[in-house]
Amino acid sequence: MSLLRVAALDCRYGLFQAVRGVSLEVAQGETVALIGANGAGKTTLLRAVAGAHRPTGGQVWFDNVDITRVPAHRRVALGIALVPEGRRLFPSLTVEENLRVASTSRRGRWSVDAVLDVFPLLKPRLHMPAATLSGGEQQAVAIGRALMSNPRLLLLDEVSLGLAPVVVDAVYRSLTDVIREGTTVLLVEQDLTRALKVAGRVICMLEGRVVLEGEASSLDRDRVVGAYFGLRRPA
Amino acid sequence: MTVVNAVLQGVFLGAFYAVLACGLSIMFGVMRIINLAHGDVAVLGAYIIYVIVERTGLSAFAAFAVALPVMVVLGYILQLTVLERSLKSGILTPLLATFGLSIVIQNLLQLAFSPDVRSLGGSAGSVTTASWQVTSGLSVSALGLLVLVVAVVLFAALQLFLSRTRAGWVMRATAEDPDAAELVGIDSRSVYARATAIAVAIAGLGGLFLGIRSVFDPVSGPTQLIFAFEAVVIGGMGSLWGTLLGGISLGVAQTVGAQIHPQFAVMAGHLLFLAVLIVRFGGARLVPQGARRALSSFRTA
Repeated sequence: MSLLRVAALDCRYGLFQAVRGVSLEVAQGETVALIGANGAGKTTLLRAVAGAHRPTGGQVWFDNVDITRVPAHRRVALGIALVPEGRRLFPSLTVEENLRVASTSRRGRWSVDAVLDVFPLLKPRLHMPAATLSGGEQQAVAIGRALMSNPRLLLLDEVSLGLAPVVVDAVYRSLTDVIREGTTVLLVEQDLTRALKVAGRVICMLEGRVVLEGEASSLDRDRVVGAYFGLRRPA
Repeated sequence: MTVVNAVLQGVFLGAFYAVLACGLSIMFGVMRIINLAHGDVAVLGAYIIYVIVERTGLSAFAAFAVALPVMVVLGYILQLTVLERSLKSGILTPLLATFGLSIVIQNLLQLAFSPDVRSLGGSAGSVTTASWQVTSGLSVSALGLLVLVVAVVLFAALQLFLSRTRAGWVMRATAEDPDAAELVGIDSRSVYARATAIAVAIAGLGGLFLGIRSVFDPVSGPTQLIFAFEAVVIGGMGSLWGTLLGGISLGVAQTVGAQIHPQFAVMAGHLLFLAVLIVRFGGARLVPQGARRALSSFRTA
């Protein structure tokens, strides 16, 4: 039974159509990577699932409920959390305040202490304004903030963007812990190697459409690269 | 000694301006709305208190306590009916909408109460007349002191609310990034409505002080708005303590200006406002170094 089902979704920015009839499913407990070049529509798709972008057509189903018209803040209460591109922390709030504004009525294992256990680098920064943190620390806060709502579906948009490789490794190590907890994850990642390593299944988008989909273990790199750049379109 | 007295009276006057400016500052800080009807909302608050006093014989302060929930409800209604819709369509629409609202409030008040001037002074008890003579040239009025104390307590309470409570963090988070706030489960609509309710309630407090200090009529609002607006700008848009300091600076400029010439009072306030604007927005090269440093201290305050 799929936790998330996206059916024939269309998203537009004015005249530009960013997502064209995309359908996909994510099962409970799965980790799915969404890959594709810049402008393929990955971020827009995630934002539409989170409720931050209103689609022009199609539906989003979560746990067998049509949530296409549900506003973003109520989707958080249902168990969907997005770590947005560019982190989008509240700059004047401290790390602790950033985490605590995101706590909801949803019960679960995540609390400020639990987030600090997964991201110990945040401990000395707890009472500092988010604006003063390094990129890696900010990304850790952004992920922790999303976890505070005890999501059933965690959406991660390019968590490695703008971070040093060592820091990306640390972030992904922590993410592995989160995934092992049983949280369902849909993530956007530019780094193909990393995406294939962390995800069970990979969905490749090109110009707003899904062009390739498969188990990470069954896909060879050449096919993915071909789909990524639109060199050979699989039937 | 007359200068010291002028400064002291300026602080008292400025505290009144700060109370008027407080709600304006909150609405700008949280929603980036400049509420051009803010002065009229304060005057409306004064009329509501006036009606309660007339009907029940309560003192002005007790009447304010009764009027407070009314103002909170009015704030919610204002947000949900006018501001929320206008916010969706760019930055100009809220300005036009609140400008229109200002005219509507003034005319409704004319209709209901006639253009006669009213005052709450008579129903505020001995606080309006009591004062202490410190030395021959220096006197402290009970009302001035009361307004100052209330202003400081009000700003301190708001500061505590914003920095120590979860509801305060939620409000700051929404002000800084409403889109990201929605994504962590915050309903920005209800945060905005709460901010407007608080702002309108504080405008009611401004109306109470306006009515006790002097007189008001249906078209008193715009003048109050100008002073409140200048206080907000002098103190730095969206900064709470800045608004308190801005109000007091404006008050002091006016009373010290009045020492130079009685007709110069309001003009001195406007000149301070213009000087701050020039320093802040690039015209700094035109201002001598020393004055620039003194004025830019407002920026960081």
